[in-house]
Amino acid sequence: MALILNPLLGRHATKLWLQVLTVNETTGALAAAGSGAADLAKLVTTTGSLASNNLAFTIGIMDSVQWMSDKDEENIASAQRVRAHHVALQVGYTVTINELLHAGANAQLLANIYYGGVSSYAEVTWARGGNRWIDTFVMSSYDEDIQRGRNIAVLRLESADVGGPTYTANEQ
Amino acid sequence: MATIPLPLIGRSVSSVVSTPQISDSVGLLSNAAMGAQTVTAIVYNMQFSSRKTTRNISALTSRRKNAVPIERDDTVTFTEIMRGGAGSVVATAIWTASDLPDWALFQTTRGGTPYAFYGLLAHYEENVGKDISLARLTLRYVDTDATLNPAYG
Repeated sequence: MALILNPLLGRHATKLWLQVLTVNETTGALAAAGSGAADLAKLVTTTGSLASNNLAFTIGIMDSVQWMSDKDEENIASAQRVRAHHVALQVGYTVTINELLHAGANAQLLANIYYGGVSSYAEVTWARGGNRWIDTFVMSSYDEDIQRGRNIAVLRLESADVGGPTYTANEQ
Repeated sequence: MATIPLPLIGRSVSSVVSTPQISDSVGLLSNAAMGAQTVTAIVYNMQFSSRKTTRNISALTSRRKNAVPIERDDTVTFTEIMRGGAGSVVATAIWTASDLPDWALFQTTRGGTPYAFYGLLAHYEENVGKDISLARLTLRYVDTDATLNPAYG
């Protein structure tokens, strides 16, 4: 049989969960806050229903996801060299999630966790095309622009250092 | 019966109310003389923007960045369709009220979820043109201490 190109499309997103984390202010220990509307946002779910807060978005509410990573670097080269030599210092991740807003009380999932979450920290699980990212972030900004037609909420997250992220092949 | 998705559109905004606030000598806010101003039917758009200042705090031996939230700062902007008639532009009336309210409580319900925000009345602008004329108020974050700001849900 022939093989065809199998491009990764939006419908190959199988999981996009944001789990708000509690923070132990003494030890820094993080733990899952729970599964209520302010604790867990399931923008894409493989189960087709969200039993935790009785929201069923079987048609999906994810508009887009941007998962970015950049390294701080410095050009460290001696005076007699004629070539640049960039050295990586630190790596950071930034995730931007766009939610297609839906009507209904507490049906705006990113707003629920940003405004109602017990802390600024969230663990993001993002699986697409059979591969999965997991990492812990600070929810650092949230934007809505409400107008006549299509409305989008934008949540931006910056990585916190818990040793991640983990990227796993063949995981949903 | 079929079930269809219900996107949040402009018509999903069921209420928009702005109540100018004044402060007593200890910072307790209360409604200004003009009271609550319902602008639901004349809102052109609304913007909610929240920012947390973060600082990368990590040991020099660490390979990874570690963002730490330091301070939160929200902004709300609502834009009103200006109408003719004496005193008919609510944003202007709020901005120029005689008891000089420096703050406002902005309340809306969009998509069935309520949102309430105390903000400094920081900026007013109007743009009058040949066709549509718009007035815009921008509210900046104030620290309401134990009172959640904004209150959401």
